[in-house]
Amino acid sequence: MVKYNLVLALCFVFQMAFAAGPTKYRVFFTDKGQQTFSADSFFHPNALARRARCGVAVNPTDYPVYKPYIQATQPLVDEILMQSRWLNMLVVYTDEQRAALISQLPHVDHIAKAPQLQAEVMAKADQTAQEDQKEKNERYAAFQLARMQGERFTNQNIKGQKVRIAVFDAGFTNTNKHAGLAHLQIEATYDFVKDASFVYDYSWHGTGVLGCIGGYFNQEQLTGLAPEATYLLARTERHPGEYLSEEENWLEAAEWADKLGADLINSSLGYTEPRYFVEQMDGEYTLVSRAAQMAFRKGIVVVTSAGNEGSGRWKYIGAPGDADSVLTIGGINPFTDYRTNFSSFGPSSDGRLKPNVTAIGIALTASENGYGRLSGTSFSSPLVAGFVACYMQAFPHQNQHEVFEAIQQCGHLYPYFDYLHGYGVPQAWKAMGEDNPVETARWSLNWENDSLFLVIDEAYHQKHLAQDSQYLDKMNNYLHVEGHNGILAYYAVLRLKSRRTALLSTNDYEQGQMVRVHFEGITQEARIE
Amino acid sequence: MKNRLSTLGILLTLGAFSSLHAQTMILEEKVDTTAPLQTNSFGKNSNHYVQLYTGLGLSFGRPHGGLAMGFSRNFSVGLRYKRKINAAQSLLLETQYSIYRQVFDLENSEGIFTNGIRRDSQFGNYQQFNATHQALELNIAHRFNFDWSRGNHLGVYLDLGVIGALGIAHRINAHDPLNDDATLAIKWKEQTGIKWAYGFTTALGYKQWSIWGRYYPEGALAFSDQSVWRGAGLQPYQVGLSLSIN
Repeated sequence: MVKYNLVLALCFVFQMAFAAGPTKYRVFFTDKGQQTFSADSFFHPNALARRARCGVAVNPTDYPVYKPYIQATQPLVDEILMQSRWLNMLVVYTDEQRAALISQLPHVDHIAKAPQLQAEVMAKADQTAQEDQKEKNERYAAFQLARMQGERFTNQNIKGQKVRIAVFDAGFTNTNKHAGLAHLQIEATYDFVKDASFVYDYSWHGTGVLGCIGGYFNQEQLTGLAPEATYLLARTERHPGEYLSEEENWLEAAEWADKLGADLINSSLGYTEPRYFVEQMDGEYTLVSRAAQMAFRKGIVVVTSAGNEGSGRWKYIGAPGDADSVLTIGGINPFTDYRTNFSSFGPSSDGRLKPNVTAIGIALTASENGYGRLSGTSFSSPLVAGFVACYMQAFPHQNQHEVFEAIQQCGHLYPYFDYLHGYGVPQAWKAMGEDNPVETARWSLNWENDSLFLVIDEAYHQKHLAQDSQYLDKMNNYLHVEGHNGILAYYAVLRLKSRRTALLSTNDYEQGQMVRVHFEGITQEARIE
Repeated sequence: MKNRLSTLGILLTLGAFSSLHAQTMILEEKVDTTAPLQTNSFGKNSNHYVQLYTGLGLSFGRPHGGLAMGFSRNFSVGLRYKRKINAAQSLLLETQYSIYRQVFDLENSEGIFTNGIRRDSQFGNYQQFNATHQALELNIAHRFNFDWSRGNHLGVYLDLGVIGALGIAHRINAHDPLNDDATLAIKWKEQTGIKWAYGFTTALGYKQWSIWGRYYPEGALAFSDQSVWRGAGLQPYQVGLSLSIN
């Protein structure tokens, strides 16, 4: 009995170490009260212009939280951490008894305890190589943009002018001093972790991300496509170690970006386990995904990384990458042109296509040691963000829905897609309505007995064989089988070895399922009979 | 002819080989389109969670109590309700059915119980003795979750609890190998009515597996309060392995 008491006492002491401090609650109000709201004085002129372009009317979700409601709630809380006008919500510290009282206030719709768990950082940056070789670095930087045919933008002096990009990250160390980023027009900064304006510290992650949006390597070679955009920098992450307050910081930053007229948000951040389960990646469950959806509804295009969990236990995309209207960006290996081993898998848990598109996942960008090749979907996301900014400059009258669809259709695999590559890497020649600069292959799909064959045109095959006998080994062939519910049952990337190749057998699939094959610029499909 | 056949054989082999290797699979993924996406981790640390579980164990008795160690075993199946307090703690309510089969070797043991059995005219000739107890048990435990990522996973945990048992059936089979294996069976419940017992439990678990232990005071669910029969009740120490089904 004594021994049991001792064990119990030890457990009690142990659990006290894990006992929660002040409890965080989210207080949702019923309405915005009777208040006058002047959109003209509240929003930056660019925000009003974006709304007009996207057909987004000012509505009560834009009004601030009603001050009398805040004042009525204040005596019952220890601290108000943040206010959200989009969700009409306060995040507060209080205790259970006072929370019960708050819930009874007439203007409170409901109150929910905010989870207080530690989570892991999802977006990681590993410096793969310290390169002192200028020429090599120039080639890497050039390639990460050339893979998107980015010169189609830069040759026409499309570099993100008049586009406002908000960047959410863990910090932007030395961004204001780095030679590769000194040219950036940074209009506003805010640290939502510390409630301060200074953000040029805490993490090199954001510095590298900025380099992939609009940086230069040695003031000569672009590392991102949008060096002349206007930037709004927000620190929303505390790194290392993370707390669920970061999702609230993200929401607050998104409202701030909306108010200041951001056209585009890049968020190389993500939330996974142990905060959430994979089946909660449905675009609706997490606060940050709902915030990203709301930003899109306000006319802002949100670009986010798919995550680096592809070879880990989690495996799938995280939040906000699961949100429906967010461009979720996977990473591809620059040497193989297909998915990097860490890039997270789609789809979302409710079966929607994710990631949407991809970009190079090992990028040359600004780093702690000047420049470095950093790996992670953290850096494929800003490469696409730069692309999107250029597209928005080229087509300033398109709304957020049109931009979203256009970026997907710019994918080099479009209309083919899968849950690792999405629609592929966006191509600027597609965006500008130009001809494909690369010769497309000529081939056909033939059913023979129970097998589907890909047959390359003889003349095309002989021509390329004469140039390179191993040419087939350098070309990726993409194949997927779409199930009856629209979700892919199978997808693969393979390399052909002969002119006539059996791709699959119908015995392994159901009648009526659709097979799509993409090879060198052409997509063809065949239904399984 | 032989050479032609050999050549044909080689060509056919090469042909088959080349078609088998006409493509290099770089990556492929089969998607289970019928099942929702799930992580591989077991067991949500949800606010409310109900689990079905089962367990097997061994009983250990007191010295000279006559229990044949290694032969006395138990089986249980139950339903566990877990109410999460916070990431590190939960409360458990377990209702289970257990059956304890305790084997006694009277010949090789000396003690109040075994001597008493031998002196009993009913049982004097019997050398081996099984006491089987069936019980409905209710266990209330406090769970401490030590897993590093315990926010949403069961992980590694320690349970400490108290258990109550309601005896629903008791049976003694006495066995005399010298007398053509004659057996005597007595159903205790018919003679003694309802029996209650209480004890303590602990478990150390990892995801759906756990090693558990139970302690019952002497005489739990015993035939009567007479010392000679108290030894046939639930043995004081039960140790076993448990598996949660979901």
